[in-house]
Order: sequence, then structure tokens, then C-alpha cells
Amino acid sequence: MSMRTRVLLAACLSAVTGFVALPAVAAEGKPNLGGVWLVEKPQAELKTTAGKAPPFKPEAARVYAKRKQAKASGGKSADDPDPAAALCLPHGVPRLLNEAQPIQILQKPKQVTVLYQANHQSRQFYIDDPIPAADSLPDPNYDGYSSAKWDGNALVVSTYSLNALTWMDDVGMPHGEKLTVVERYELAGTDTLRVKLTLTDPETFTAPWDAQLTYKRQPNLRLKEDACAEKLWHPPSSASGSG
Amino acid sequence: MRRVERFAAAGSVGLIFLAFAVASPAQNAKPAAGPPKPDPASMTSSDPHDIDGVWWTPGYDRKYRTVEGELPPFTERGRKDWEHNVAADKAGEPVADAPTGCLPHGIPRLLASPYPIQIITTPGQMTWVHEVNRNQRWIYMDEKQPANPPKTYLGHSVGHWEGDTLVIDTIGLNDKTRIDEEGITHSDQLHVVEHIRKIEGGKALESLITITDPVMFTKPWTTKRIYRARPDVRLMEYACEENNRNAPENGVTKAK
Repeated sequence: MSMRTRVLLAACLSAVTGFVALPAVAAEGKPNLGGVWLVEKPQAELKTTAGKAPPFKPEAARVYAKRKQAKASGGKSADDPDPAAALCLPHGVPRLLNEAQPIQILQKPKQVTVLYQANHQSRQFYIDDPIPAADSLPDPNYDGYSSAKWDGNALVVSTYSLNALTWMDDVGMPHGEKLTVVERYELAGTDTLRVKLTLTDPETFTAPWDAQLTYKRQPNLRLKEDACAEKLWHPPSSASGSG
Repeated sequence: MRRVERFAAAGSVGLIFLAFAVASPAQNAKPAAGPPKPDPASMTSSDPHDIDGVWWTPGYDRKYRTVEGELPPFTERGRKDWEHNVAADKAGEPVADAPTGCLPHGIPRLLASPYPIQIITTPGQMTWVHEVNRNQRWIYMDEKQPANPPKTYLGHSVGHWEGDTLVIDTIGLNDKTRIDEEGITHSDQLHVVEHIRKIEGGKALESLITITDPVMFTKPWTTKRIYRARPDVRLMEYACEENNRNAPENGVTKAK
């Protein structure tokens, strides 16, 4: 089946069902990661691929234990609040990958964009973008900067310049600004997406470590608006100014 | 918070350009840190239906007026709301609306935002990723509007092409946002239709925005925005929630 036929078929199916059937191979001959996905088993506590705790340095282990304890007791720590859940700040990487809300991958030849329903976030992966040298990295921010390349059938995304204001998981795993995250996206069948993570941060961990997440394709799901900031302030009707 | 930096950057571009132009080749100007930028020479596609890429409205006009430059055809209620908001603004106590609390800007207010937009087309869908406060629009192509979509800040959008004009229809908007920053309000009966086409040989988009809301306006009215192709620009991260200096207090936006 030619690509044009596939696209036409997808358009017809879209017209009939309201949703799009995606071809398995994208136009540029790469695996098609495009579509809506949901992480299968979100890990509130991010573990290694082997299901173990990461190799923390002592200070990081202490901070993590304290935050976990605060979370477990249900308290909202005023001096160390959950930046994403309590303040609606960007989740940062890798935490953003592990939220129980759908994501949508938009795959184009030169750029892959991931839309995250959670707090209307997105990340842009530029294909074959060189990673700047260590002495000319841009200032850190919440989601960093991401460069991607295709390695066979896997999309490998390297993320750098992450600030240290985010948690690496929902219960408070800390990290420093030297954190780098490599994500390896690979289809395991048409409806399963595996993401292998390599996490490196010499200030927090004694060695680089691996984690793995599995996403399931959601052909009948669309992203919904998530207005996280309503937790901070609930705007009234704007049409009531003059009463 | 990102919004101040973008304004500063926009204002200083000319100055930086001048500085580079007058610098002798011997002077070793340190390149700006950050990932390399795409080649500005790679202009947008000549296909009138291909509007993928980064676009940016030049300048900032915080008021919407009709294409003839007039105030919209207010109902009595719509005029009272607008006068109230303009008076509060002049008194230094502007009425807070959704984006001052880091919530989505609403349609059509988002369409005036002086930040870049990246348009990405995938089968059956056009996505507009707005830098400002991470607003995302999902426009479902060649579909009918659902009968009663839930009311949200950005509503529910469907699109189709009429010749070389993209038509985007948006309903399902809540009433927590405004039409513009100055103070034109809307109800949740708002219906917005955008007619978008390439102009200037594809270097710009023209958007005619038609606004219908029987609570606030006596008849539909149309306003306009222009977006320039900016292949030299990449979207930056926007974290409104970080030290939001405009966070509303008792319903008033106070610059802090």
C-alpha cells in the first residue's frame, strides 16, 4: 500500500469514525510513534528497570526520604511544596513522562513534539540537532532542551540544561542541574511504546541508572484541557464585571 | 516568569544586530549559548495548504476592534462590561482575568498574544502550540462540531479548507476569559470563526476572526491579525506559575 493510499485511507476512517487510524510507518520510513498514548503503570516512585531504588548519594537519599515521609503523612510541606502538584509548575523531565494523563506524539521528519495533557505542557525534540558543548549550554529550565536522533527503529532523545527545581517523581526524588536524561522510544508492536531512560547526575547518584516505562496506544482518546492553575486561583466569569 | 524576557528580547534584537554589524571580524564575539537555530533562508512551503512552522504576530495590540477600526456592536450588557473594565484599568486596579492567574487565554484573546506559535499538522488534526503560557489548540479537521462540548478555556475547534483558506470554528468556550486584554467580555455562548490564508507569498498569515455572542454583541463582527513566518525562531519554555508577579489579589491584577 502506497503512502498516499495510507493517508487517504486514514482520512476516510477519520471521516467515518471521528478518529484517525495511523499507519505503522511514517512518511519518512521511520516507525510511526504518532498518536495518543497513556503510560501503563505510572510509577509514583521511580525505580530502576530492575525495580530497585536508584543509587543515591547520601544527601539525596536523605532529601528523598524526608519528602516521601511528608507525602505519606498527607501533609503539604510549606517550605518544600510539590512543585508540579501544589504550584502547577512544569513537571520537568523525567517526571513528566510518568503522569497518569495521556500524551500525544506529533511526529514530523525534522521535529518530534510531545503534547502532555498534564498542565498543558509540551516538549520539542529537534532531530539531529547537535548538543552544545558543556561550556556553552543554555541556562537551565524546567524541561531542558532536547536533541533527538533515530538509531535504527528507536528515537533517542537527549535532554540537558534541566533546572533543579523539579522532582524526578511524584514523591520527591531530588536532582541537580547536571542531570541529563536519555530517552529511547521504541515500538513493541503497533500499540505498545517502550521508553528506556538513562539518568545521569553525578551530584545525586553514584552511577548512571536505567528506568523503563511502557505506554499503550489510545486510539479512542483525545487530550482534554487540564487547567491546573485553578488550584491556585479560580477565575470568576469575566462577563460579570459590571454586575 | 518568561513573559518579561520575551519582550526584552524582542526589543533588543535590532540593537544586537547593529552591534554585530559594526563589530570588526577580529573581535571574537562569543556566540549566544543555546542550541543552533534553523536556517532563516528555509522559507515556508509554497503549498497554500501547508502552514506548518513558527509564526509570530508583529508588535502587540491589546485591543480588538472591527476591521474598520470601530468598537464592536455591543449590546447594553457588553458595553457596560467593557466600560467597567476600561475604567478599572485607568484607575490602576485592572480586573483580573484567567491568564493573569496562569490559566489559558481563551479564544480569541490568545490569537493576539505577542508570542510565537508553532503549527503542526498530523493526519486529521492541526495543533497550534502557543509559547504564551503553554496554550495548546487541537483543531480536528473535516469533522462536525459536537452538539454540546464541555465548556473550557480554549473550547472545541474543528477546521476545514475552503479553497486556499483554512476555516477554524470554535465553540464550547467558558466565560472566564475575555475577548481582548483591554476588557471586551464574552458569555459562554461565544462562537469564533477564523478564516486564515497565506499572504505575501507565504511569508505571512492573515486571520480574519469573526466573533458571535448574542449576550454581548448585537451582531457578528470581524477583527484581524497578521502572523509572520519565523523559521528562525524556536518556541521557548514558558513558566507563568514561577513567581507570577501579576497573580490576582481579591480579583485585581496588581503588578508586583
